[in-house]
Amino acid sequence: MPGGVLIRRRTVLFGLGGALLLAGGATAVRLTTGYGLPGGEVPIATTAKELAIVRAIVEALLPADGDLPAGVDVGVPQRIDEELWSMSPELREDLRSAISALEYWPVLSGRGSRLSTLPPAARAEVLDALAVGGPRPVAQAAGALKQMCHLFYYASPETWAALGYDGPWVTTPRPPPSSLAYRALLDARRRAG
Amino acid sequence: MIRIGTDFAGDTVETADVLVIGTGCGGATVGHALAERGHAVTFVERGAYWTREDFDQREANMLAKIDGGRGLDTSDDGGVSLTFGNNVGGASVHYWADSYRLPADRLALWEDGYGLQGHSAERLRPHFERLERDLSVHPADDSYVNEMNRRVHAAATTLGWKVERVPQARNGCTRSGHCMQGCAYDAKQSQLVTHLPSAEANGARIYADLEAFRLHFEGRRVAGVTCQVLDRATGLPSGPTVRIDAKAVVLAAGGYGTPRLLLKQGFKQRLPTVGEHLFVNPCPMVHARFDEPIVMWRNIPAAWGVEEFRLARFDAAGAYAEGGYLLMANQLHPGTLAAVFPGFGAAHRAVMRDLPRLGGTICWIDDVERGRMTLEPGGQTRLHIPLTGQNALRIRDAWRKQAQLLFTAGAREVMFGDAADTRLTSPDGVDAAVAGLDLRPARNVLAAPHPGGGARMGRDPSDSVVGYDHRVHDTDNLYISDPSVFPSPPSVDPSLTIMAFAYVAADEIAGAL
Repeated sequence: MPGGVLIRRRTVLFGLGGALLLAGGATAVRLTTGYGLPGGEVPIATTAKELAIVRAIVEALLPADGDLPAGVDVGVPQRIDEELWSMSPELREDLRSAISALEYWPVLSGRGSRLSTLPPAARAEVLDALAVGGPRPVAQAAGALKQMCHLFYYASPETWAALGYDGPWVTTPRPPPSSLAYRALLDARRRAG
Repeated sequence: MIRIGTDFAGDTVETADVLVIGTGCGGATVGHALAERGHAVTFVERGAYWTREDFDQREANMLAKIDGGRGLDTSDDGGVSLTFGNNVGGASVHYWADSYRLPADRLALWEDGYGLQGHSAERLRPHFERLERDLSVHPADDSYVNEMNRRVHAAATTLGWKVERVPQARNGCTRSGHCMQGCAYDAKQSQLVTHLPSAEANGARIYADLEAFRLHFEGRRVAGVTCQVLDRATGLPSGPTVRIDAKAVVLAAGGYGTPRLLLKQGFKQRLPTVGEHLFVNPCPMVHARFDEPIVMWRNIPAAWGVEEFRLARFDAAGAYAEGGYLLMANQLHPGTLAAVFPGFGAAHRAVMRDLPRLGGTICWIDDVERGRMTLEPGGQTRLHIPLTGQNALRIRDAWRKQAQLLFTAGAREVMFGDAADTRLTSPDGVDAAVAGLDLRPARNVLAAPHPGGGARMGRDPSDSVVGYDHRVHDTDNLYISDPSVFPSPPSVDPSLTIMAFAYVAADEIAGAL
């Protein structure tokens, strides 16, 4: 059976995230401000900063295109936060490290800007180049986030008509308990403002 | 009786004749066989109990419900995606229903090359016959053949390659194509609808959401096992524990789960082979774009299987020449296809917009270079799967043959799915393209759906974990019934072989009770 999304094991990726942040040093500190989220998105498993980075990646990978909606409009960033909340603590830390690693990679590789502050087309360019020829840990981080974005986007019914996919025969979705619990938590956070 | 995590309000102690840890092909079958003989069997399963009403055919929902790592777990270097069941019924709930007997040549290898005893063709034959009868195993007839499978068959025939109908464990199949999301029609003959109901009818207790975490030894005997109750929403322990004392304990947590449990219980010190010799059947895929509709997501995944290359071939000097894998049509729904397909931008989207005309193939590699599972200081396990040496040669040959077959099948573009998004529009460039494919981790997507070998069978405790009676060396009543005991990959889908070996294990356990 074909598999799903690739996530690195914790130790290597965590080492990468730490190394990047250390190497970035003062630059990273200088560049950690200015993150914002639209009103609807609420970080549960991530920080606001991490979710903003995820949103920037989704904007770059999945822009609106004719009859295909934008990834942010079908809730991909929030869905990734949900997945992080639902997964094992080890995998969650992998992913959070991956997000940080990707954000600072352009700084460390000479672009002088964080990933989320690059124009969307440039973000996609950075990720693409990373996947093909980047250092293995960063390439894997890019691949992991890319795969999650694409899985949750194209598994969304909003995209199916444009693809020519006629969808499941079972008409009623039955979300897993993790999803129901996450949604309840999200609703509570939103109500609390 | 079936109980789930929320049914256990406080700490509990129970007894059984036999405790089976795991409910996939190995666990469900051994438990069903023992319950049938009148033994009191209790199953514990780390995953949840789902029924067909829960199988909603949505990829993301079902990955979360029935895949052990929610589709996210990988080997240590990220090179291989680990696929395993985490639910009552185990991986049989998401498998393709391919149901091969262990080929005679592979049994001969196991007996002559690895010294296997106690599992002769004569002993296994009645078990295979019963399994084929009970699970409605039959060759996939023409009604199961979707357009991708039709083209695989036609192309293989044109190329002169041996291609056979894939035996299927199905009864009343609707051809929805959602086999990997669990069968919403109870037509696929998974353990959930076959051996587990049989065991339950014979008095077995099935406990979901329980993770076995401590084996209690009294000398060479396992007196009991303590399990922690898991919260279904978070997967974390919810507080209560359940201790089950039993005359015999069977580990059947699967090719990844059983060695992991043994490592965590400290068996490595006395049985150094625990976690060694792991095989996973790494699966390279090749995608293709056709001019005509393929609609690969409907009907069953694999109706025709190319068996021409099941056994590797070697030249006169003994060097690898080709083969060492099964080749089949692939089946992917859009979320999974998009996740495994390379690229980030317009090129990726253009491919997805051509979804109805996309098809592809997949190979199950008979891996020779073995993997290794180790225990990290923090208690996590790490799995290394080598994509080098013989494994690399076989993967490259599998890419080559898949491309050749897909062009013969009428593909106008063949896509290897590597990070560099290597594509061809003519078969002329196949050899050069395959030579250039990067096998380093993160440059490709390889799945690993058939793990085994991590607690292999043998006579010598220095080189094996269980004896030929499935009993763990140096213990009196601890057994293993899953592919961990196999000495090598079976060279076909392992499910029926796992079940046949489970019947042998049941004979041995019943004789010792």
